[in-house]
Amino acid sequence: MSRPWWLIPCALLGLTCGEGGGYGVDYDGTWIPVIDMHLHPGDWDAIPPETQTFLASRFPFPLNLRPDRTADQVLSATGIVGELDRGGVHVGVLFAVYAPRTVGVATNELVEAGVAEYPKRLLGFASLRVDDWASAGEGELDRLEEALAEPGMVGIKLAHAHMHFRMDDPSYFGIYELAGRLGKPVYLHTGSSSFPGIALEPAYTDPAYLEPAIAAHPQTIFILGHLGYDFVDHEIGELETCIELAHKYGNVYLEPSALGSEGADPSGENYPTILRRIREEGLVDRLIYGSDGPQSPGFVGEYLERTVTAMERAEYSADDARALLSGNFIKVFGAEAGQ
Amino acid sequence: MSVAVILSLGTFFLGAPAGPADAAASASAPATSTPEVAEVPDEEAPPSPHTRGLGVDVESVAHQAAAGFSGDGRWQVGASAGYPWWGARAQLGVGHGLSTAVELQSALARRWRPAIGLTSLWLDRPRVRISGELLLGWLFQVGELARRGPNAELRLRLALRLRRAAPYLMLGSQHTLLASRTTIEAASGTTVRWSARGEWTGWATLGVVAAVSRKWGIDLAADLTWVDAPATAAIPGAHIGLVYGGFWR
Ligand SMILES: [Zn+2]
Repeated sequence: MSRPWWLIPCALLGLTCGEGGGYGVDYDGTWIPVIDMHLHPGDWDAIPPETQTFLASRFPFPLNLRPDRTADQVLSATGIVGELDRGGVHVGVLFAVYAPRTVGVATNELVEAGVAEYPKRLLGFASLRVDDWASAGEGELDRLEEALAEPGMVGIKLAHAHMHFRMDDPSYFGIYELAGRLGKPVYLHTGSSSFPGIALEPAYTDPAYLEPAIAAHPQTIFILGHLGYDFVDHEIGELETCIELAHKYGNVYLEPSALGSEGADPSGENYPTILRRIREEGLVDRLIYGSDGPQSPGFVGEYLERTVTAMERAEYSADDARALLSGNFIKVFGAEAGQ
Repeated sequence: MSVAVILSLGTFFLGAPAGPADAAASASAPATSTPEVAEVPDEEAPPSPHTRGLGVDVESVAHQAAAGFSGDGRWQVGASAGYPWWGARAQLGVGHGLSTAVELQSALARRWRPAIGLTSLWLDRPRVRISGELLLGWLFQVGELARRGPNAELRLRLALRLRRAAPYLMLGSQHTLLASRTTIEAASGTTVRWSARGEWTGWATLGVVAAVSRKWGIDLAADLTWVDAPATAAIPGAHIGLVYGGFWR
């Protein structure tokens, strides 16, 4: 992975120079900068009707009567930066999503525009359509490569369950090859999901099915999103599989977004248990923080607070906390920063 | 509208002392700037048939609005705007201790409920009134959370009678029967299943209707509503309204 210096994400330069700008968290007396690697910008009209209803039902009254307005206030680049400000998060990563049948579409262009608007605060992950792969696959890979050449576009986002393609289907391995060639990590949703219309069979959700792809692409970084969490039954799910894969493959990273939210972890026990298991296994240097926001106003900051509490309960040192909240992200995405 | 404005207006009307202080205030004010006051001199009060209704003399529309009850022979209309609730209401006193109402309620122009109501005065003291109301209507909501169904509401109102203002508390329990259609697409074919569920909305409005004159009143209130409880959380709101009324017999 080598990039010319001018492609170093502008957003990371400030952080590596130690400029906090008032952002970050105080953990055990140590100031730690925060990068949230999992945020969804959006356009309400691009979300399928069933998902609109699902999302609306989660807003409080009367915001649920005009969910479009509420969503656009929060989901625009400006809205997301506002949420980062409120939450004390320095840098956020926007995800493009192409899942027209489930969660909807947030185009690469939407993400690129947001990153261009706030180059010091936002980075982007590009994505692609996979629903007509046999005939459109090559064109989609070209489009993905073009998107990744744009400034601040640092990785690829995939969600097999939402996009309806198997984790172990080799016909899609071209995506991982491209990622490895360009030095752009791939984020993969793992675990079940309570969104309507998603594929819940193990081949779409169980990270064990990713092993052939991980093994075949050692030069590609795989970030296992949600750690295989079971969002349907609010259970820890496939965490042990993620841990096993991280032990076995140096190119596997772990991301704990959404699973610790009030809705996903009502007892508040699962999140600290998961973080503790990862520390016990000596895998804190593979953890990269994300929230899966913005969801609703205040969520980004709330998830960060819940993460700090969970880290305290899981007996994380300040160094562990720094690794999770920003250190590992900088290591993976800004390795050349400062050169 | 800011809370400070509501509070300062509330203080003005609630704090307006009755009796001697009032007389002193009006005596010290220049004659040209004397505002229209709530009370009407006895000699200007309408003759006998018009004094039927509540209280010994003709009371302002504001007090009848706060109680949700119009005395025999009296009518009033009102409209309110706020966040998220908007409303319009007409009241007609029909005697026999009853008052009728027609009402339209809306939240953000997405949730609507037209209804007709019957109000009875349960307690009628010089300073305090309590009324009960039954409304029957139809609820419909458009947009992402579309729903519709018959609706009934029971309301309890406690209203105080101050000279220029009527502070009130209204508690409501609103019930709607919703029918929903679920379409299940399976390999064996498409089945449509109908199911019914209830929606309950708890309601508390705390406000004051200020008597601008005998015929005009201004309503300021905070609306605490828990729509579709307990499934949905709710944010409180507030409204400002105007009421106007007279006599129909
Ligand atoms: Zn997500």
